[in-house]
Amino acid sequence: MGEEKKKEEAISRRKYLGAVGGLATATVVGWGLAGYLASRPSAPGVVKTITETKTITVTPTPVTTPLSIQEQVPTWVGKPYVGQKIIQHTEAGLQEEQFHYYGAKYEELTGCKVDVSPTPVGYTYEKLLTELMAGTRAYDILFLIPMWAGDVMGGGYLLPLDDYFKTKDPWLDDILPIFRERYMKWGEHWYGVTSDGDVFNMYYRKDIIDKPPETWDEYVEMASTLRKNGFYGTAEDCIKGEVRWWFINRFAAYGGRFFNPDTMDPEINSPAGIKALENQINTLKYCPPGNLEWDCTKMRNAFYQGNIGFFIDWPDPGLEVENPELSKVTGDKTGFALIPGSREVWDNDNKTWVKADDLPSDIKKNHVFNGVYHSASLGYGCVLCITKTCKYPDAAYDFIRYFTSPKISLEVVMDKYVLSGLDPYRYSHINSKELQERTPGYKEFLRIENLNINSGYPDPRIRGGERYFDVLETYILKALAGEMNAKQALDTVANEWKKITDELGREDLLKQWQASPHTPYGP
Amino acid sequence: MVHEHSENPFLLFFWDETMKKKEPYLYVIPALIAILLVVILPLIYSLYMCFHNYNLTTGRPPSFSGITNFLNMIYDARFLNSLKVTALFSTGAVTIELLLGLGIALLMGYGAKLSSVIKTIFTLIIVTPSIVAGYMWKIMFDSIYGPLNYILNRLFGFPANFEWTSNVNMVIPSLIMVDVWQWTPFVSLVLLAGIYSIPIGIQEAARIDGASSFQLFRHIILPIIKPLILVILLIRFMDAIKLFDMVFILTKGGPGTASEIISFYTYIVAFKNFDIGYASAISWVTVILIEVICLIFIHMLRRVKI
Repeated sequence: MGEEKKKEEAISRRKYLGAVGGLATATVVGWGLAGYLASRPSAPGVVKTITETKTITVTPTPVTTPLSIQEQVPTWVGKPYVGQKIIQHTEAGLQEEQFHYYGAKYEELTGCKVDVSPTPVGYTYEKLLTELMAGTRAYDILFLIPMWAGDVMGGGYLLPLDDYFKTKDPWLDDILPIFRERYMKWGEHWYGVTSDGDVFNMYYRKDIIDKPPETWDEYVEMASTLRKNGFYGTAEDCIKGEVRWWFINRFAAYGGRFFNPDTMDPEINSPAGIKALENQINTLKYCPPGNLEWDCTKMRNAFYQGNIGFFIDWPDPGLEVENPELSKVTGDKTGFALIPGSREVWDNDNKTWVKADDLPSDIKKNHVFNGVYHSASLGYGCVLCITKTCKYPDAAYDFIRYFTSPKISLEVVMDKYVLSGLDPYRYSHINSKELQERTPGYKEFLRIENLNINSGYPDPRIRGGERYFDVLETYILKALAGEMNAKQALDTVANEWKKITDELGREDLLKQWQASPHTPYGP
Repeated sequence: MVHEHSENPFLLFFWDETMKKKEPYLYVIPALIAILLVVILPLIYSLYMCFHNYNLTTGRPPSFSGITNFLNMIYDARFLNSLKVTALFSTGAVTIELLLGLGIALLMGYGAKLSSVIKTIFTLIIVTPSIVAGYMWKIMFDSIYGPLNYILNRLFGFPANFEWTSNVNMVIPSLIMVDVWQWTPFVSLVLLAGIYSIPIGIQEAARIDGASSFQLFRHIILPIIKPLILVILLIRFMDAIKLFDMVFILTKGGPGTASEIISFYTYIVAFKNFDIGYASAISWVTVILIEVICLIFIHMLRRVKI
């Protein structure tokens, strides 16, 4: 007992000595810190009383923690654009809400009113071009799809943004290179800021499918195997204005190239094209009835309602599938995979099939996995541009910069406040922990999406792009409807494309086509 | 009016008898100018464009191309297809509307119960905007969720997922069905008005002379309402050839080009391809086509003797 008491006293002594030592250390560190702070240079105008008799001027300690890239957003002193109004064009529906929401916020910050003017989905091209050609000043900011860049950027309807970029950087280096270099420029000038990073991904039911199809042949096979009792393997988007990308994803996987980069002759009817369209026709056999008139919304709903096993689509389902208001397959049941590919790729220069493993290493790096060549369409996407007729270009540019700033665009792509339909396009999006943790599987989704982006197959940016693809879709749909076989359809498309090229000017178009990098295996 | 003029010495100087005759023309001049500006001049300009190569996306000015645009039509498979589709649709739709409309008008005219209810429903259908009707039918035709398939399946064992607008062979009959739904009421009501205008005495006299119902229809009613039938055919053919909104909403000319009627194809050429020269040429061919049909019906109308 007496020994135990001694022990307690010994511990108390140890504690006492520890406390004294700690206090002494804290005093020394505090004294050193105070000295360091006192030695910092002073800023005028801020006066701090040190003693009753002596006053010195010192700098207030600034909040030195730099904003992380995800938090960066423009700020304004006062409201510089009171009384100004800009008209923001967008597509009606899903894309529209975000502009209403952030337009109102922008008005609060700057005083500039943002009027949102939507056009119906599927008819935006003709509406935009008609307004621009007629010079109606209907829009100040365009929601432009890169496929139309040839007509709109090349048509001289837009304000070059080079000077703005020099003075107010739209965080250019943060935008993924493919969305920056292939979307925002025309010739030597910058004309827009990317606001949507579209790429196709595959979505599948993890609880039903152990291993998603790696090739397009496996895709059809799995679609046929899974079809039973009202459940369908897959579904396709076959609506005019969208079906092109369900073809392009296959065309890219087989190494297809739209035009010969030396002559501008169409290569759409190459063996790669025919194989792609045949695959699309075969897939449709196992899709739900009436699929020929389905758009992406119907296709997504079929997956969300648990009626199909897998499908390819833009990135939107990555988040939507876990939204209980939209989907019944919540709870991390959805897996994400690369867009299916092919073990053989068409060499457009040497007119022969090449094994994916035999491709040059620089191509293999981003495209070949497990002996399969993958190439995902970067179809659609979006760039915000200012029209030349815009009355308040400063306010318009500031709105674009605000909307696409890392902070706001992150909110947009993660559907934080409104469903946006816009998808990650900045490094800061892909690296955002908040976005990665948005849904249980979203981190994996972003990893797959990034791989698909790296293998990305951009839409052609030439004058008349929409016209070429309207013809392509017309004959794809004829083939899907059984009116023609794949070869007949694509031969007709090639003939029509030749006529369009001659009509619009082969030399100009060739220059525009050559402005993009090409390989023998597409794009 | 003249009296006021006569009190004004300045006007009196100019307001002689010749001017009095010309006075009515003064009142129509503003309307004529408006029509000239918004109808005649664009028509003349589009005629001028027919003979020019002009694509808005190239940035090049119009260049004279003679009759190239018209010659191109002969080799344009999509244009020829659109002519075929238009002929199929307009003939099918107008024929069914006329036969059905006439039958309903006779039923309503000769004592069918609920004829006033039918008339009200018909009026509602006629006043329904095409855009609303189009979206309504789009939902009706949906092969999975559409009520049409559900009802037909439950009542008659019809295929549960029948493809109305995505099947190449069914798309034109489906469009005809919608057109018949929307325009048969108009045909019926106009013919009903014609039937009501037949003096009851003539019909009673025919009955007394022993005419059967068919004979009454064949020899009394039909000759009297024949001019009305011709007018209906004229109006409906013109409308059917120009149909655009239903195709735009329901099929977008698809699948492929299976329902691409001439007005929709013109829209594609003008507003997707921005080939204004060729679109103008196609429009003029459509106008000529409609004019020919009109002339035939007008000629027939002139020969009608009641």
